[in-house]
Amino acid sequence: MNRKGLRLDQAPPLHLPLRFFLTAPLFGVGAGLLLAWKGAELLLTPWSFPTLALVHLITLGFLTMVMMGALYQITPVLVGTPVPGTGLVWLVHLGLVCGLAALTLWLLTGAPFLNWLAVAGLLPAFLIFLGQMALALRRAPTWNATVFSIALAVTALALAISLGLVFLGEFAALWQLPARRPLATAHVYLALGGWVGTLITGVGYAVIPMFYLSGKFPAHLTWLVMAFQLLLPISGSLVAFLAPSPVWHLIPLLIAASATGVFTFAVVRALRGRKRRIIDSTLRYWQTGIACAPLSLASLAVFTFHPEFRWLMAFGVLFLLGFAMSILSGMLYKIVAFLVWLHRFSKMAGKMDVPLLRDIIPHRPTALQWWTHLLMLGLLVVAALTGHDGLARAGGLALVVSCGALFLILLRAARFNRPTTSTESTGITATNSSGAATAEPQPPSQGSTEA
Amino acid sequence: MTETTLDLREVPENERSERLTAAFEALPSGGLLFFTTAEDPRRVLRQLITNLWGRFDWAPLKEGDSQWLSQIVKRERPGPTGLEDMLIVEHRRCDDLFAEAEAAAQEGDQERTELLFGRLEMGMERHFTIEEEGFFQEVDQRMGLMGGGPVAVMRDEHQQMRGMLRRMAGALAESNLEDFLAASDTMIYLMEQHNMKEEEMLYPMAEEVLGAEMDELLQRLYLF
Repeated sequence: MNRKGLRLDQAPPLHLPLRFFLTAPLFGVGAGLLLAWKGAELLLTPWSFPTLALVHLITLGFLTMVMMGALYQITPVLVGTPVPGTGLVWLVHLGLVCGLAALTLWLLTGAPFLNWLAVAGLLPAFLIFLGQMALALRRAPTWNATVFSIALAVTALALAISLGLVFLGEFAALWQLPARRPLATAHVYLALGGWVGTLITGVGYAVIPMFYLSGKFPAHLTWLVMAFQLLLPISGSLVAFLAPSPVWHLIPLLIAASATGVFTFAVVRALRGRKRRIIDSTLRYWQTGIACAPLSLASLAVFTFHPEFRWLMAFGVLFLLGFAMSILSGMLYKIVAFLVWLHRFSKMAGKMDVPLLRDIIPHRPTALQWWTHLLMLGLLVVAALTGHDGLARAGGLALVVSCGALFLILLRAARFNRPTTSTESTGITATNSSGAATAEPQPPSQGSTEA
Repeated sequence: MTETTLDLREVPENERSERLTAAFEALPSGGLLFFTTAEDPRRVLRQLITNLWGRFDWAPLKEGDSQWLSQIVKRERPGPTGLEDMLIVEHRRCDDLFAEAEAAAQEGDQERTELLFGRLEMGMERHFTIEEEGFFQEVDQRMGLMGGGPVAVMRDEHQQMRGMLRRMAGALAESNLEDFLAASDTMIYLMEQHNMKEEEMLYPMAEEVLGAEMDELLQRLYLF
């Protein structure tokens, strides 16, 4: 154990994770607009360029954006070591935003310079991010289940991104790929199973006991899930290259099902046995995500036997939006509210008029936002299965609304700053950096202000 | 869990330790004993520590008014006291009290909320004191941190939690259970992220630097 590595005071400045958290819903809005514009044609095959644009707006624009911001924030706390080079984070964010915008436009228009622009943005962004994570993990003072799952997730991300850049290189005619389809399949296993799946479960072990006082997850279950998660991208990639028939994909599917089964069981048991009986939007989102995970795999299982793309598209909706986006949205509400409170108000925690988390992110708007998210899920699952154009466009609009609302709620929280004007004091002096002397919190533009 | 109660208020001073020991010995493994004393129970506990160290966990529940209430749990696995047995056990006990107080407030039961919150406050203050007055200093010295680094952050967070406890107490004094719950919903994240940092990072390191001396240190800090 490396004692010198222990630093519990390395939480990054507030703006650093917030810029990722506030950008993510905007890419969600972008994905919704694209879907509302193009309609059901985006749901016909996962391999068309416009569909790939839609998928990457969600996977990179929303999911990876949130997860990278969260890793910058939680690595110092969960791993116990600072992330080096936080001065470069603006570059990571800028590269990701510009690279992803260029990638989307290139997939939609095919203009060759956009391909280069995408690489120019994404390559440095991920190189810096992965380098920072590698250094932080190397200095980890202790290796527990959470640290291990972060390492596994980041490794899978590195491999998935490398393959993604290889595809971009091929389209730029730098090289010719002998086997693009198997490589693409491996890319999907690494990105969804390795990166998204592992990180979300790893964070779940850490936060569910904290938020709901549910008791720790049993270590043997967490390590079991992690073993499956290690096997999943490996077996998936091997099968993609070597398997003589698609039925072989049942092997990684069974592994994914085992991981999901054990994780779902553990979460459901933890939430049922939770000591805090409160119900909030984060809990609702965990329940939604946990319900969608097995459904997404069921859809994938059907696809293995009936290779009609609609089952694959339904899997995409259920896994990316139903499982991953749900859980991350719920986490955003908690993380953003707590970070804003911690940075701006924790020093005056004893005063009676100090804002609380519910003032920073009120319950009601988040509950309404959750309903729009459910509506979006319902519309898009049916649209994926039926290919109904109107439903696909309506689902796209619902995605615009739910991600737009998420953005506004988070923006209001990020701008929430109330200097205490009251004279009643418990001896702690309130300090406020912004100097905006208003007695009431200023909502940015929307009326989601009631407590 | 078997629960027993013992009132030592009327018992002559020279018999108290004997009576407490007898009641403790009668407990089944894992059993819980509540006992009341007319003054600070630490005096009678000193005897218990000398004779029965490593076999019980004590926690104060209520103080003052010539009526001090404490609890003693008979450990299922007696042995040298480590952080698991003392500081981590207290984290979990406070978690439980916190959840119960919150549930009582949700049911609108002011009286029960006050009872449970009072126990929570006492437990947390004792825990803070043990860490601040002895444990942190020891860890600080052994790890050569010179008062900075992790220990300073932990101290800061204790201050913030004290603030939130005052906030919750203020709401409770005004019988404003709604506000009490709003404050508790902020407190929980502060408390749990703090516990996690201690349990995942600081405590394992403290165990490494202190080794076999931990038992002795904790015995010294027990009655803070």
